[in-house]
Amino acid sequence: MSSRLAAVLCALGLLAAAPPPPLARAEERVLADPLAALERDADEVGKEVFRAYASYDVARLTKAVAALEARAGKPGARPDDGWLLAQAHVELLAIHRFYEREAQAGMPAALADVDPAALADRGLEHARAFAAAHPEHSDIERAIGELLSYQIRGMAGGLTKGPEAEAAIDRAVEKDRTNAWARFAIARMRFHNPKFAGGDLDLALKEMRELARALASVRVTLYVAHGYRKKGMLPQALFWVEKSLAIAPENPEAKWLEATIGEEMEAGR
Amino acid sequence: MRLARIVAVLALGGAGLAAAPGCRSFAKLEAHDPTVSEDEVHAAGDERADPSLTPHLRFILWNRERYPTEVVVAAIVATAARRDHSAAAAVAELARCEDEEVRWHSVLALRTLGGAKADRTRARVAAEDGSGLVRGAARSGVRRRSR
Repeated sequence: MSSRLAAVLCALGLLAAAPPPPLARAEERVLADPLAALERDADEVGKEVFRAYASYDVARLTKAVAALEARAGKPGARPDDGWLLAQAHVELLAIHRFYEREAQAGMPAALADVDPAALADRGLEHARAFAAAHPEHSDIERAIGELLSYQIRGMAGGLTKGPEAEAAIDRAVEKDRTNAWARFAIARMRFHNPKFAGGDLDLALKEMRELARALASVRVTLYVAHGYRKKGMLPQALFWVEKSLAIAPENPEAKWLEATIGEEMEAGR
Repeated sequence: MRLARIVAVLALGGAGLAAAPGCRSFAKLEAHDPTVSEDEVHAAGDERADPSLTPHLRFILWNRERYPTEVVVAAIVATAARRDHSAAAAVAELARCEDEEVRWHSVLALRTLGGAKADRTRARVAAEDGSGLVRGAARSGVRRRSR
Protein backbone atom coordinates (compact mmCIF):
# COMPACT_ATOMS: atom_id res chain seq x y z
CA MET A 1 0.00 0.00 0.00
CA SER A 2 1.44 3.37 -0.95
CA SER A 3 2.13 5.82 1.80
CA ARG A 4 -0.32 8.26 0.19
CA LEU A 5 -3.11 5.70 0.25
CA ALA A 6 -2.21 4.82 3.82
CA ALA A 7 -2.45 8.48 4.79
CA VAL A 8 -5.89 8.81 3.18
CA LEU A 9 -7.16 5.67 4.89
CA CYS A 10 -5.71 6.91 8.11
CA ALA A 11 -7.51 10.23 7.79
CA LEU A 12 -10.76 8.47 6.91
CA GLY A 13 -10.41 6.25 9.95
CA LEU A 14 -9.91 9.26 12.19
CA LEU A 15 -12.83 11.02 10.57
CA ALA A 16 -14.95 8.01 11.36
CA ALA A 17 -13.91 8.50 14.95
CA ALA A 18 -15.02 12.13 15.01
CA PRO A 19 -16.96 12.85 18.19
CA PRO A 20 -20.69 13.54 18.03
CA PRO A 21 -22.31 16.98 18.08
CA PRO A 22 -22.45 18.99 21.31
CA LEU A 23 -25.06 18.63 24.00
CA ALA A 24 -28.44 20.18 23.56
CA ARG A 25 -29.37 22.60 26.33
CA ALA A 26 -32.09 20.37 27.75
CA GLU A 27 -29.64 17.47 28.11
CA GLU A 28 -27.20 19.54 30.16
CA ARG A 29 -29.71 19.96 32.93
CA VAL A 30 -30.20 16.28 33.61
CA LEU A 31 -26.64 15.01 33.72
CA ALA A 32 -25.87 12.42 36.37
CA ASP A 33 -22.59 11.22 37.86
CA PRO A 34 -22.54 7.40 37.85
CA LEU A 35 -19.06 7.28 39.39
CA ALA A 36 -20.28 9.23 42.43
CA ALA A 37 -22.90 6.53 42.92
CA LEU A 38 -20.26 3.81 42.42
CA GLU A 39 -18.03 5.40 45.07
CA ARG A 40 -20.93 5.94 47.47
CA ASP A 41 -22.00 2.30 47.28
CA ALA A 42 -18.48 0.84 47.36
CA ASP A 43 -16.84 -0.73 50.40
CA GLU A 44 -13.55 0.61 51.76
CA VAL A 45 -11.47 -1.20 49.10
CA GLY A 46 -13.62 0.23 46.34
CA LYS A 47 -13.57 3.75 47.79
CA GLU A 48 -9.77 3.60 47.65
CA VAL A 49 -10.02 3.64 43.85
CA PHE A 50 -11.36 7.18 44.07
CA ARG A 51 -9.49 8.46 47.11
CA ALA A 52 -6.10 7.34 45.79
CA TYR A 53 -6.73 8.91 42.40
CA ALA A 54 -7.24 12.38 43.89
CA SER A 55 -3.59 12.48 44.95
CA TYR A 56 -2.32 10.23 42.12
CA ASP A 57 -1.27 7.76 44.79
CA VAL A 58 -0.33 4.90 42.47
CA ALA A 59 0.80 2.61 45.27
CA ARG A 60 -2.60 2.82 46.99
CA LEU A 61 -4.39 2.52 43.68
CA THR A 62 -2.50 -0.61 42.64
CA LYS A 63 -3.05 -2.06 46.10
CA ALA A 64 -6.79 -1.53 45.69
CA VAL A 65 -6.65 -3.13 42.23
CA ALA A 66 -4.81 -6.14 43.65
CA ALA A 67 -7.38 -6.50 46.45
CA LEU A 68 -10.28 -6.28 44.01
CA GLU A 69 -8.69 -8.81 41.67
CA ALA A 70 -7.87 -11.16 44.56
CA ARG A 71 -11.48 -11.37 45.69
CA ALA A 72 -12.91 -11.96 42.22
CA GLY A 73 -15.04 -15.11 42.15
CA LYS A 74 -14.85 -15.46 45.94
CA PRO A 75 -17.53 -14.85 48.57
CA GLY A 76 -16.09 -11.38 49.37
CA ALA A 77 -16.54 -10.16 45.80
CA ARG A 78 -19.07 -7.37 45.23
CA PRO A 79 -21.28 -6.82 42.18
CA ASP A 80 -19.53 -3.66 40.99
CA ASP A 81 -15.96 -4.88 41.36
CA GLY A 82 -15.47 -5.25 37.60
CA TRP A 83 -16.62 -1.67 37.02
CA LEU A 84 -14.32 -0.45 39.80
CA LEU A 85 -11.40 -2.33 38.26
CA ALA A 86 -12.09 -0.84 34.86
CA GLN A 87 -12.24 2.65 36.37
CA ALA A 88 -9.05 2.05 38.35
CA HIS A 89 -7.25 1.21 35.11
CA VAL A 90 -8.58 4.37 33.44
CA GLU A 91 -7.17 6.32 36.38
CA LEU A 92 -3.78 4.57 36.25
CA LEU A 93 -3.57 5.36 32.54
CA ALA A 94 -4.50 9.00 33.12
CA ILE A 95 -1.79 9.28 35.77
CA HIS A 96 0.73 7.51 33.54
CA ARG A 97 -0.03 9.87 30.68
CA PHE A 98 0.49 12.96 32.83
CA TYR A 99 3.93 11.84 33.98
CA GLU A 100 4.88 10.54 30.56
CA ARG A 101 4.06 13.85 28.88
CA GLU A 102 4.79 16.48 31.48
CA ALA A 103 6.86 15.22 34.38
CA GLN A 104 8.82 12.13 33.43
CA ALA A 105 11.23 12.50 36.32
CA GLY A 106 8.36 12.14 38.77
CA MET A 107 6.92 8.97 37.23
CA PRO A 108 5.90 6.71 40.14
CA ALA A 109 8.06 3.60 40.39
CA ALA A 110 5.02 1.35 40.03
CA LEU A 111 4.31 2.85 36.60
CA ALA A 112 7.88 3.33 35.39
CA ASP A 113 8.13 0.11 33.41
CA VAL A 114 4.48 -0.25 32.58
CA ASP A 115 3.40 -0.52 28.96
CA PRO A 116 0.25 1.62 28.81
CA ALA A 117 -1.23 -0.50 26.01
CA ALA A 118 -0.87 -3.62 28.15
CA LEU A 119 -2.29 -1.77 31.17
CA ALA A 120 -5.26 -0.76 29.06
CA ASP A 121 -5.68 -4.38 27.93
CA ARG A 122 -5.88 -5.49 31.56
CA GLY A 123 -8.51 -2.87 32.23
CA LEU A 124 -10.39 -3.91 29.11
CA GLU A 125 -10.49 -7.52 30.28
CA HIS A 126 -12.25 -6.46 33.47
CA ALA A 127 -14.48 -4.00 31.64
CA ARG A 128 -15.59 -6.43 28.94
CA ALA A 129 -16.33 -9.16 31.47
CA PHE A 130 -18.47 -6.69 33.44
CA ALA A 131 -20.16 -5.43 30.27
CA ALA A 132 -21.00 -8.99 29.22
CA ALA A 133 -22.71 -9.55 32.55
CA HIS A 134 -24.43 -6.14 32.49
CA PRO A 135 -25.41 -5.51 28.86
CA GLU A 136 -27.49 -2.41 29.67
CA HIS A 137 -24.77 -0.73 31.72
CA SER A 138 -23.83 2.66 30.28
CA ASP A 139 -20.74 3.67 32.20
CA ILE A 140 -18.83 0.45 31.58
CA GLU A 141 -19.06 1.29 27.87
CA ARG A 142 -17.61 4.72 28.65
CA ALA A 143 -14.78 3.02 30.54
CA ILE A 144 -14.14 0.72 27.57
CA GLY A 145 -14.04 3.74 25.26
CA GLU A 146 -11.59 5.56 27.50
CA LEU A 147 -9.37 2.50 27.91
CA LEU A 148 -9.25 2.10 24.14
CA SER A 149 -8.47 5.78 23.72
CA TYR A 150 -5.35 5.34 25.84
CA GLN A 151 -4.15 2.81 23.30
CA ILE A 152 -4.18 5.44 20.55
CA ARG A 153 -0.61 6.35 19.71
CA GLY A 154 -0.11 8.40 16.59
CA MET A 155 -2.05 8.21 13.33
CA ALA A 156 -2.02 4.44 13.08
CA GLY A 157 -3.48 4.14 16.55
CA GLY A 158 -6.13 6.66 15.63
CA LEU A 159 -7.07 4.57 12.61
CA THR A 160 -7.61 1.37 14.55
CA LYS A 161 -8.50 2.34 18.10
CA GLY A 162 -10.18 5.71 17.44
CA PRO A 163 -13.36 4.34 15.86
CA GLU A 164 -13.51 1.51 18.42
CA ALA A 165 -13.26 3.98 21.28
CA GLU A 166 -15.87 6.24 19.75
CA ALA A 167 -18.27 3.36 19.19
CA ALA A 168 -18.00 2.35 22.85
CA ILE A 169 -18.61 5.92 24.03
CA ASP A 170 -21.57 6.20 21.67
CA ARG A 171 -23.02 3.05 23.21
CA ALA A 172 -22.56 4.59 26.64
CA VAL A 173 -24.57 7.65 25.59
CA GLU A 174 -27.23 5.52 23.88
CA LYS A 175 -27.70 3.45 27.03
CA ASP A 176 -27.92 6.49 29.29
CA ARG A 177 -28.11 9.99 27.85
CA THR A 178 -27.68 11.48 31.33
CA ASN A 179 -24.27 9.86 31.88
CA ALA A 180 -22.02 12.86 32.44
CA TRP A 181 -18.88 10.74 32.25
CA ALA A 182 -19.83 9.61 28.77
CA ARG A 183 -20.14 13.30 27.86
CA PHE A 184 -16.76 13.84 29.43
CA ALA A 185 -15.29 11.08 27.27
CA ILE A 186 -16.69 12.80 24.17
CA ALA A 187 -15.31 16.18 25.24
CA ARG A 188 -11.96 14.51 25.89
CA MET A 189 -11.90 13.18 22.33
CA ARG A 190 -12.66 16.66 21.04
CA PHE A 191 -9.86 18.01 23.22
CA HIS A 192 -7.20 15.61 21.99
CA ASN A 193 -8.21 14.86 18.40
CA PRO A 194 -6.74 16.81 15.51
CA LYS A 195 -9.20 19.16 13.79
CA PHE A 196 -9.73 16.91 10.78
CA ALA A 197 -10.80 14.15 13.16
CA GLY A 198 -13.39 16.21 14.99
CA GLY A 199 -11.01 17.92 17.38
CA ASP A 200 -12.31 21.27 18.59
CA LEU A 201 -10.58 22.83 21.59
CA ASP A 202 -13.09 25.65 22.03
CA LEU A 203 -16.05 23.30 22.05
CA ALA A 204 -14.26 20.81 24.30
CA LEU A 205 -13.50 23.61 26.75
CA LYS A 206 -17.11 24.79 26.72
CA GLU A 207 -18.32 21.25 27.38
CA MET A 208 -15.75 20.64 30.10
CA ARG A 209 -16.81 23.87 31.84
CA GLU A 210 -20.41 22.67 31.79
CA LEU A 211 -19.42 19.21 33.00
CA ALA A 212 -17.46 20.72 35.88
CA ARG A 213 -20.83 21.72 37.33
CA ALA A 214 -22.15 18.16 37.19
CA LEU A 215 -18.97 16.31 38.12
CA ALA A 216 -17.04 17.35 41.23
CA SER A 217 -13.90 15.73 39.89
CA VAL A 218 -10.35 16.97 39.64
CA ARG A 219 -10.09 15.15 36.32
CA VAL A 220 -12.62 17.55 34.79
CA THR A 221 -11.30 20.76 36.34
CA LEU A 222 -7.77 19.88 35.23
CA TYR A 223 -8.99 19.53 31.65
CA VAL A 224 -10.49 23.02 31.83
CA ALA A 225 -7.18 24.34 33.19
CA HIS A 226 -5.22 22.61 30.43
CA GLY A 227 -7.65 23.96 27.84
CA TYR A 228 -7.18 27.56 28.92
CA ARG A 229 -3.42 27.09 29.12
CA LYS A 230 -3.44 25.74 25.57
CA LYS A 231 -5.29 28.88 24.46
CA GLY A 232 -2.80 31.11 26.27
CA MET A 233 -5.45 32.37 28.71
CA LEU A 234 -3.31 31.89 31.78
CA PRO A 235 -5.30 33.71 34.50
CA GLN A 236 -8.34 31.65 33.53
CA ALA A 237 -6.22 28.50 33.57
CA LEU A 238 -4.98 29.37 37.02
CA PHE A 239 -8.51 29.70 38.39
CA TRP A 240 -9.25 26.16 37.28
CA VAL A 241 -5.99 24.94 38.77
CA GLU A 242 -7.07 26.50 42.07
CA LYS A 243 -10.45 24.78 41.72
CA SER A 244 -8.59 21.51 41.16
CA LEU A 245 -6.49 22.07 44.26
CA ALA A 246 -9.62 22.84 46.27
CA ILE A 247 -10.96 19.41 45.25
CA ALA A 248 -7.66 17.55 45.51
CA PRO A 249 -5.03 19.56 47.45
CA GLU A 250 -2.27 17.01 46.90
CA ASN A 251 -2.85 16.35 43.23
CA PRO A 252 0.58 16.39 41.51
CA GLU A 253 -0.79 17.46 38.13
CA ALA A 254 -2.57 20.46 39.66
CA LYS A 255 0.59 21.40 41.55
CA TRP A 256 2.66 21.02 38.39
CA LEU A 257 0.23 23.17 36.43
CA GLU A 258 0.17 25.84 39.12
CA ALA A 259 3.95 26.12 39.10
CA THR A 260 4.19 25.97 35.30
CA ILE A 261 1.51 28.58 34.67
CA GLY A 262 3.10 30.83 37.29
CA GLU A 263 6.41 30.62 35.47
CA GLU A 264 4.75 31.25 32.13
CA MET A 265 2.98 34.31 33.49
CA GLU A 266 6.19 35.71 34.90
CA ALA A 267 7.96 35.07 31.60
CA GLY A 268 5.21 36.97 29.80
CA ARG A 269 5.42 40.06 32.00
CA MET B 1 6.75 22.44 48.52
CA ARG B 2 4.90 25.68 48.31
CA LEU B 3 6.77 28.80 47.49
CA ALA B 4 6.58 31.28 50.30
CA ARG B 5 6.27 34.01 47.71
CA ILE B 6 2.80 35.33 47.13
CA VAL B 7 1.96 36.40 43.64
CA ALA B 8 -1.01 38.44 42.53
CA VAL B 9 -1.89 36.97 39.20
CA LEU B 10 -3.21 40.01 37.49
CA ALA B 11 -0.38 42.14 38.78
CA LEU B 12 1.59 40.32 36.15
CA GLY B 13 0.12 42.73 33.66
CA GLY B 14 -0.41 41.41 30.20
CA ALA B 15 0.98 38.00 31.04
CA GLY B 16 -1.27 35.24 29.88
CA LEU B 17 -3.09 37.15 27.24
CA ALA B 18 -3.79 35.12 24.17
CA ALA B 19 -2.21 35.64 20.79
CA ALA B 20 -1.66 39.19 19.64
CA PRO B 21 -4.79 40.97 18.46
CA GLY B 22 -3.11 41.69 15.12
CA CYS B 23 -5.80 42.15 12.56
CA ARG B 24 -8.48 40.21 14.37
CA SER B 25 -11.99 41.60 14.40
CA PHE B 26 -13.51 43.11 17.53
CA ALA B 27 -16.84 43.67 15.82
CA LYS B 28 -18.93 41.77 18.34
CA LEU B 29 -17.21 43.39 21.29
CA GLU B 30 -17.75 46.83 19.80
CA ALA B 31 -21.38 46.03 18.96
CA HIS B 32 -22.01 44.83 22.55
CA ASP B 33 -23.16 41.57 21.00
CA PRO B 34 -23.89 39.08 23.83
CA THR B 35 -22.61 36.23 21.63
CA VAL B 36 -19.09 37.71 21.63
CA SER B 37 -16.49 35.03 22.31
CA GLU B 38 -14.25 34.98 25.34
CA ASP B 39 -11.28 34.90 22.93
CA GLU B 40 -12.31 38.18 21.31
CA VAL B 41 -12.80 39.87 24.69
CA HIS B 42 -9.58 38.43 26.05
CA ALA B 43 -7.59 39.64 23.04
CA ALA B 44 -8.85 43.18 23.67
CA GLY B 45 -6.66 43.21 26.76
CA ASP B 46 -3.50 42.93 24.75
CA GLU B 47 -1.37 46.04 25.03
CA ARG B 48 -1.22 46.20 21.24
CA ALA B 49 -5.01 46.26 20.92
CA ASP B 50 -6.77 49.51 20.08
CA PRO B 51 -7.29 51.61 23.26
CA SER B 52 -10.74 52.53 22.01
CA LEU B 53 -11.83 49.00 22.99
CA THR B 54 -11.55 49.82 26.69
CA PRO B 55 -15.06 51.31 27.08
CA HIS B 56 -16.50 48.20 25.47
CA LEU B 57 -14.80 46.05 28.10
CA ARG B 58 -16.31 48.32 30.76
CA PHE B 59 -19.72 47.81 29.16
CA ILE B 60 -19.44 44.07 29.74
CA LEU B 61 -18.42 44.63 33.36
CA TRP B 62 -21.44 46.84 34.03
CA ASN B 63 -23.79 44.49 32.18
CA ARG B 64 -22.72 41.14 33.55
CA GLU B 65 -26.20 39.61 33.26
CA ARG B 66 -26.14 39.91 29.46
CA TYR B 67 -23.02 37.79 29.03
CA PRO B 68 -21.90 34.27 29.91
CA THR B 69 -19.50 33.86 32.81
CA GLU B 70 -16.46 33.16 30.66
CA VAL B 71 -16.96 36.40 28.70
CA VAL B 72 -17.28 38.46 31.89
CA VAL B 73 -14.13 36.80 33.22
CA ALA B 74 -12.30 37.60 29.99
CA ALA B 75 -13.41 41.24 30.33
CA ILE B 76 -12.08 41.39 33.89
CA VAL B 77 -8.74 39.90 32.87
CA ALA B 78 -8.46 42.24 29.88
CA THR B 79 -9.38 45.28 32.00
CA ALA B 80 -6.68 44.45 34.52
CA ALA B 81 -4.15 43.86 31.76
CA ARG B 82 -4.92 47.28 30.30
CA ARG B 83 -4.65 48.86 33.76
CA ASP B 84 -8.00 50.59 33.23
CA HIS B 85 -8.27 52.19 36.66
CA SER B 86 -11.53 53.84 35.71
CA ALA B 87 -13.09 50.36 35.68
CA ALA B 88 -12.25 49.68 39.33
CA ALA B 89 -15.79 50.45 40.51
CA ALA B 90 -17.30 48.03 38.00
CA VAL B 91 -14.79 45.33 38.93
CA ALA B 92 -15.49 45.93 42.63
CA GLU B 93 -19.19 45.49 41.97
CA LEU B 94 -18.43 42.10 40.39
CA ALA B 95 -16.83 41.00 43.64
CA ARG B 96 -20.45 40.62 44.84
CA CYS B 97 -21.44 38.44 41.90
CA GLU B 98 -23.02 35.08 42.74
CA ASP B 99 -20.51 33.31 40.52
CA GLU B 100 -17.34 32.22 42.34
CA GLU B 101 -15.27 32.35 39.16
CA VAL B 102 -16.24 35.98 38.52
CA ARG B 103 -15.54 36.99 42.14
CA TRP B 104 -12.13 35.25 42.09
CA HIS B 105 -11.05 37.11 38.99
CA SER B 106 -12.48 40.40 40.20
CA VAL B 107 -10.53 40.42 43.47
CA LEU B 108 -7.33 39.59 41.64
CA ALA B 109 -8.01 42.37 39.14
CA LEU B 110 -8.58 44.77 42.04
CA ARG B 111 -5.05 44.02 43.26
CA THR B 112 -3.77 45.27 39.93
CA LEU B 113 -6.07 48.24 39.62
CA GLY B 114 -5.50 49.41 43.19
CA GLY B 115 -7.06 52.42 44.88
CA ALA B 116 -9.04 52.92 48.07
CA LYS B 117 -12.24 51.30 46.81
CA ALA B 118 -10.35 48.28 45.51
CA ASP B 119 -8.59 47.88 48.85
CA ARG B 120 -11.84 48.18 50.82
CA THR B 121 -13.54 45.66 48.56
CA ARG B 122 -10.71 43.15 48.88
CA ALA B 123 -10.72 43.52 52.67
CA ARG B 124 -14.47 42.90 52.76
CA VAL B 125 -14.23 39.88 50.47
CA ALA B 126 -11.28 38.46 52.43
CA ALA B 127 -13.41 38.56 55.57
CA GLU B 128 -16.86 37.70 54.29
CA ASP B 129 -16.87 35.75 51.04
CA GLY B 130 -18.46 32.31 51.20
CA SER B 131 -15.75 30.72 49.07
CA GLY B 132 -12.38 29.87 50.56
CA LEU B 133 -10.88 30.20 47.10
CA VAL B 134 -12.12 33.78 46.74
CA ARG B 135 -11.22 34.75 50.31
CA GLY B 136 -7.70 33.45 49.72
CA ALA B 137 -7.35 35.36 46.46
CA ALA B 138 -8.59 38.55 48.15
CA ARG B 139 -6.15 38.13 51.02
CA SER B 140 -3.00 37.24 49.23
CA GLY B 141 -3.40 36.64 45.53
CA VAL B 142 -2.47 33.20 44.33
CA ARG B 143 -0.11 30.91 46.18
CA ARG B 144 2.63 29.63 43.96
CA ARG B 145 4.21 26.25 44.34
CA SER B 146 7.45 24.93 43.02
CA ARG B 147 7.38 21.89 40.77
